[in-house]
Amino acid sequence: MKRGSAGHYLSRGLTWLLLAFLFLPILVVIPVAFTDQDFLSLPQHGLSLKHFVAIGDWSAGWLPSILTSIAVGVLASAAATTLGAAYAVGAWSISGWWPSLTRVMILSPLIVPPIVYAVGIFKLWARFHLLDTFLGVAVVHVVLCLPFVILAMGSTLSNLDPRLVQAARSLGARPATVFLRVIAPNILPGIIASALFAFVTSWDEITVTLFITSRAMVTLPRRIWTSIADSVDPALAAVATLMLVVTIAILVVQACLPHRKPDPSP
Amino acid sequence: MTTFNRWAFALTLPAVLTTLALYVAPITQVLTLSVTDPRPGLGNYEGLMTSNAVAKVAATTLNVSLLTTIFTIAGAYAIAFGLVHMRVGPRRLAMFLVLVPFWVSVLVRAFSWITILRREGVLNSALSSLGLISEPLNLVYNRIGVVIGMVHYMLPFAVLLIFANLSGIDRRIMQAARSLGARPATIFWRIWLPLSVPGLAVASVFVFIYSLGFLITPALLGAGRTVMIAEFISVQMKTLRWGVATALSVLLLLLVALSVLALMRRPALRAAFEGRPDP
Amino acid sequence: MSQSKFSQDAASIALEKFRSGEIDRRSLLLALGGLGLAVALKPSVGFAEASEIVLCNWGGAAVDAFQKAFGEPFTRKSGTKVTVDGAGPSTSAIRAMVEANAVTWDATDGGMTDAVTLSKGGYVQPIDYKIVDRTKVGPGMSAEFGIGNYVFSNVLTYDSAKTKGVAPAGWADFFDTEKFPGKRTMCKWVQGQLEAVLLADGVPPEKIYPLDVDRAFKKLKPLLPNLIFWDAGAQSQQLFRDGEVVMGNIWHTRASLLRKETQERLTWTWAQNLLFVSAWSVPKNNPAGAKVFDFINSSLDPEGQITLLRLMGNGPTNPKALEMLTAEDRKISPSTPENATTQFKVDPAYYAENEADLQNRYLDFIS
Repeated sequence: MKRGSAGHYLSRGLTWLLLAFLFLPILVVIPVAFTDQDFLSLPQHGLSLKHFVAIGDWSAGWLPSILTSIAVGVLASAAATTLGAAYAVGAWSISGWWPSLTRVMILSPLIVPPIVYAVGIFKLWARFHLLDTFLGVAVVHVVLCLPFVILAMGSTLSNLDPRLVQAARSLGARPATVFLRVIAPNILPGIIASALFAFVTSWDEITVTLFITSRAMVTLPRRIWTSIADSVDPALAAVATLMLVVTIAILVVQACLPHRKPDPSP
Repeated sequence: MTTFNRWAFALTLPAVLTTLALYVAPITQVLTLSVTDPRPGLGNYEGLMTSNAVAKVAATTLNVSLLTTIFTIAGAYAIAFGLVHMRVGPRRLAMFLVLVPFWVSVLVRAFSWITILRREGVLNSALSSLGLISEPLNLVYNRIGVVIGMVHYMLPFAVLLIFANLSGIDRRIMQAARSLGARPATIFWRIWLPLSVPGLAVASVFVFIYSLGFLITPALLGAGRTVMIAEFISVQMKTLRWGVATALSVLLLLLVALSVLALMRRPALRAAFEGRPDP
Repeated sequence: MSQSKFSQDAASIALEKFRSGEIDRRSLLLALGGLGLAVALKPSVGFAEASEIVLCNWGGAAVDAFQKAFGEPFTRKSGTKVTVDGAGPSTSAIRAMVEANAVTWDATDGGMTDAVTLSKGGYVQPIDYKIVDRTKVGPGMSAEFGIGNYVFSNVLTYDSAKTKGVAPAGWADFFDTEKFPGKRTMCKWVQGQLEAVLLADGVPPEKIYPLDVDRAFKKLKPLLPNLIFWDAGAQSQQLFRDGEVVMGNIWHTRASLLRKETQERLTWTWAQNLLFVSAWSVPKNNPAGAKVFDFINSSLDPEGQITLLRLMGNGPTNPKALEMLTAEDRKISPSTPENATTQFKVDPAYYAENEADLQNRYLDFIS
């Protein structure tokens, strides 16, 4: 849309308004993290750091849970992205009933309520002694992350020009070269989005995890869930606040790094 | 089959086998409970068909999911469209605003919304101190609250899906149109929108399907007045009516599979869904 | 291999002797301990160690409180470690564990109704009353598959600032939106909800069961626009703190926390409180085997129950504990005679039979 036109400003204004809708409610966690009360609330008589202290205290369990969740998330995301990206590219390249059928199958975890899957996987993991283990949780998360990867990849692949592949093949490129040298670089944004989707899915998964863990594996959502039974612990707002700070820090560092590509916009 | 196709087929196998072994197999075992628990037969399905509660829960679920999809897609498109037109600096900031909610647990977000929307909450207090309202608005513990919470949850996903599609569109088409004298509105309606269809389709299907299974947000923000199907199923699990719960899951699965198949009959949607270019 | 077979055999002999009364419990445990073999006796391999009792409750502060009230006294007496898992012993989790033969919990903290519901599917074992002394608990608090570990009540809680200091007299006032304007909260889970509605409608306590659901719904219908339904205890508390509701049907433990927090601005009346008995259940093939019944028997001692009352507000099931309460304790205990004058006892047998259907009808009605 032309810069300077009324439509331009209207659309730009709308974009930022919606971004505010997305972002501002999240900021509520910051005052809540500093509440002087023992339940999730805005500060009443003053600010307190006790909920941050609680997170820092290793024995309180928040820190180990955060690390567990990051480890599970990274592993599950890496595995799901690899499997899912390979699948999506493969399915994109061939036609017929196979991709259609298998796609619905891989997407099904989005539809079947997780509690039903939880019962099924519980029985399977009991047989393999994987209940309450790191591997057991990570593998389940891979399965639950796959649909997100495939959806994110689908969106990117729909923009990939098949003539590119045809050209490479007609020039005699071997299949491995086509996939790694032609397709992969072109779908990199999709792969990054997939990895992010997958990590976040794992990071927030509670229903199935709750079912297949007991005492050894306490992921962050499980820690939150357990604290909710009692009073909704403001430590979870403190965790969210820390995540905000970390994310902002990463962005700032990234922006300050040298060797940036020159700004392509005029 | 050419060598290339064999390679492509082989690439699909790991994901398919993983899903078969670790998802389809255990879930099939559970879903067979729908015809065996508490006794063999189709009794659970008969019960579902004649139950008022199920009909109402299904209607609520469809209603809330549709509303969520409409608002999410409209909002996400506006954001994504703005994003592709931004310079790198603002875009980085905007992307950050989109991505941040991902890091905040769905539980925390639900409580944030309660803090904002309740009768003595941030929003109502602000509005009444500005003299805009005399009675607090009922914005939460009802369907409005549920839809707000769900749209907020789904929006970042939809923005990313649509943005990935929009940023892949060849901008030279718009330049060409402009140089031929097309007005901005014309360019939007005749070029941007049609080219966005694949991204919009994928995002809509995703948001809709995902909304059908929402559990925590409706439970916390709906406070019993908006019961969706996932919550209903988990109630059946809790009262040990696993046959009913799994029968309901089977129906849900069939419903979604059928609607996806129906969508795929439209070539454009099929192309988007399969991640292929429009034939 | 043969070694373990032998010890297993020796163990079963010792067990046989114990059953026929030739040796007492202590010698049996000694014998088994000497053979080092609690594990070999276990029919299933779970993740709990054999030398411990694993309790499962609903998490939060209850994890520490159960440890102090039930765990520590037992460990002192028997030397056996007690671990509390706050994962939540939902009936579905118990069923899944038992069916998969992967039971990790020895005693689970659920309602009396859960105990009966679970027993129907064969997921729990009968309480061994040869070991557990059922005379320790009050009448109606011990059943075949569950024994009362504490009691709690649903009470009419109110915001005295909003009612201008007037205390509601009973459930009838819950429905009086003219005298007490404002929103109310009830529980999303049906137990103890329709009873209050019927009491408000004037049904005499002895005629509450079987519940006249249509009558209850008719009475409740006009109140629906003023109702918010809570799911977990913390949520019911939050609704009062936020000033969202003026009255509610919530657990007395939560009401008690609210009263402390607000210097009695938020408080409750014991009038027509609805009493529930919570119960220990023992999942089939529990890892610690019969040892859990020693634990359960120990948990019924008055001292531990009073500790729990002071930590959590959960009332004792052992009548002896009532005699040992201070005036302050008595204020928050639902089972003392002065708090129980107009008390209504919720019937677990009725719910074991009807809960699933009733819950669906109730959800359908309120949504």
